[in-house]
Amino acid sequence: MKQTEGVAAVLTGRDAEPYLRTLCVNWPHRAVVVDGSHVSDICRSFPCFPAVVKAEGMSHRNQSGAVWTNISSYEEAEVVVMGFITHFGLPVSISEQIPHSEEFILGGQRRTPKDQLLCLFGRGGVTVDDQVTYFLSPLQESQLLAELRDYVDGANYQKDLSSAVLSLEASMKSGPAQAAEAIDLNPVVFHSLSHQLFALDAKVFIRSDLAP
Amino acid sequence: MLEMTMTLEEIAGLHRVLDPPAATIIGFSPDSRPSLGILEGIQRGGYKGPIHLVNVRRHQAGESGYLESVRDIDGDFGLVYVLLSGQAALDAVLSIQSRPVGVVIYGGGFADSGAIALEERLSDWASTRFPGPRVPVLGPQSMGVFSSTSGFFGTNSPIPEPILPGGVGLVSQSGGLMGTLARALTTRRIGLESGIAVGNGRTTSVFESIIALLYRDSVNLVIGYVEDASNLELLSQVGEVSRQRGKPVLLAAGGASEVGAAAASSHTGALATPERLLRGVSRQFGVLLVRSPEELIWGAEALLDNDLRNPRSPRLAVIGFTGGGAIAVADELSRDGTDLKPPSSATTRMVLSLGAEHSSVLNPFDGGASATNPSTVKAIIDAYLTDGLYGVYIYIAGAGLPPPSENHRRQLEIFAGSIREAGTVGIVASVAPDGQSGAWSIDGVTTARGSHESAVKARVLRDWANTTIRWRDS
Repeated sequence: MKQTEGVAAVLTGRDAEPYLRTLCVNWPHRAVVVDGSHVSDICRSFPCFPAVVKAEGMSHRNQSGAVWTNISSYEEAEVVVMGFITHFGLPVSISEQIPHSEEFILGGQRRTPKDQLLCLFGRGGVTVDDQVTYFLSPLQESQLLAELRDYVDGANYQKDLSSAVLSLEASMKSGPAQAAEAIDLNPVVFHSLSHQLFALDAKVFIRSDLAP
Repeated sequence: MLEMTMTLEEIAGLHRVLDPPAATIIGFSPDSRPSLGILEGIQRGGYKGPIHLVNVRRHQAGESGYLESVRDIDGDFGLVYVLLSGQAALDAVLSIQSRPVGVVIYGGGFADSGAIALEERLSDWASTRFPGPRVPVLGPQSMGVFSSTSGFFGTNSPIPEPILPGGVGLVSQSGGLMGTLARALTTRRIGLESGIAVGNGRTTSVFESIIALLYRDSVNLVIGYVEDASNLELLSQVGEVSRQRGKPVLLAAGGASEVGAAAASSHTGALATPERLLRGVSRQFGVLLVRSPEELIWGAEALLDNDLRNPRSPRLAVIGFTGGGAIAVADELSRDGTDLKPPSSATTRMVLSLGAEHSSVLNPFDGGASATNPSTVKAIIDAYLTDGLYGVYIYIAGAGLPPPSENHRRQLEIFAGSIREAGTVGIVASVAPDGQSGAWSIDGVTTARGSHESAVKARVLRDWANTTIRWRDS
């Protein structure tokens, strides 16, 4: 858990999992190194290469060089993870690399004064920019599908993204993420081969007093 | 369906503000321009109801025609204008002992310290002072209301005289801008049904005023200039009522408020700027959004010139026969991220067979100056109209507007006739900002001067298509 300014606490990785388990997205196979003495065991037992190694618990990781992709073997993973521990500290994660093209962002944000819930979707990844849309809860699938035509071609892709947004809304309204102030899923991608929707990174922002 | 927070009684109450049985002006002074402006406005429409003028000092000085206080009013208060400031304005409102039709707190009314506390007390008074629905309170910073239907012009905003009656309802948080917009609409021969200058909008908000106008049978389009769009719940209700009543709402937003500043450490929070929230929720609920008062006028004109027809599709086709005008408009659209999709293969074959072999790009289509045969022009336009892909058509008047020759005029008439027959929407666009806006028109489609105006009108018609398609699908 990482403290940020104000009352927010940011949960990533395993800390965030309890809040994200009902979302209609897939998660890459992932292992987290929290103890430097377990690096070798974790890398050797990791089943999915190529993989991505990331330093956890920090912002703007790409700009900091804290994300390495195309790690092709457990030997290479071991070297990279050890290097990350030296430079960035623990924890460090190793994840299945999901081949994809476009990246999206999905999110939810509570807003005062009436605790309204806003849901965000649009172009994501490191270049998240103007091409995002906020909708006010309660959402209707027809509204989402009409809007998602601007972001992604293909009815199945639109349907999957719509389902993910609706599940995020439901989770923040009455599901496991009720205590979350905001959730970022960024990036969210379609697997180039299976076409399934994956969230490659997630952050959950909750009030410090509610953090586990 | 969304739950509405505004009751039908409250909506009816705002309608009565536009047709009050009496008018009371508290703090009236014949030496004050706002006082005289409001009084002359009320009188100019031949208003028949009683007008009460309240000024304690002039009453005590023995001047005739002035009441000492509202307690001296015998009969209906009607619509009460308060031309006092600060605590004196609030005290004047609190002294109203029987239910008025509404209250207008004039500009500057609470422009002193403690303004928010005073406004909150005013809001409480409106909700609790009298049994029944909340009393409509416009302002502080309101410049009044007008209605061409009722003939009540209780505003000192510089609205045109005479005002052209019509079906547009106008709501503005800025009183001065209400007059500016009313004059610009009149210049373009767009008729107004009513106008409400909302001011700060803490009690009766800009979105509630828009909802009330949507319920007026004589209103067919509501346009609004909004400075505080932070109440997204009410904005969503504007969209819902717009759908229920089948009438478009077109908004321009200025003076963005800090509604999205919370939790900026998240991407989701950091991206939640007021502009993005307004744009997203407007799109979600089918409210049309433009960027400026100028675009508001253009957007209204685009919708009304096309008789509020529903475009069949949001896709745009740009067609021209002279010069590079088609490319200029396409460039302007592209800056906004509006892509022009190529026509179907059947349309492509048809257009190429009609003598456009030189054209490598068919949307925008630039037929060149050689295609002057009216039957060829019509055949090409009809090919695009029957494609099924497009709903919004932009025809480039490459020689400018008004058309300089009979041949040019004939081309534009062919285009407009085809659009009307097809029941969809069109724009005749001159890429140069030549000619007086509204000075030359053609039945059934809108005209546009300059690539910017052309692109704005195209965007509004495209968004209108998206809105009506969503209404139909829901």
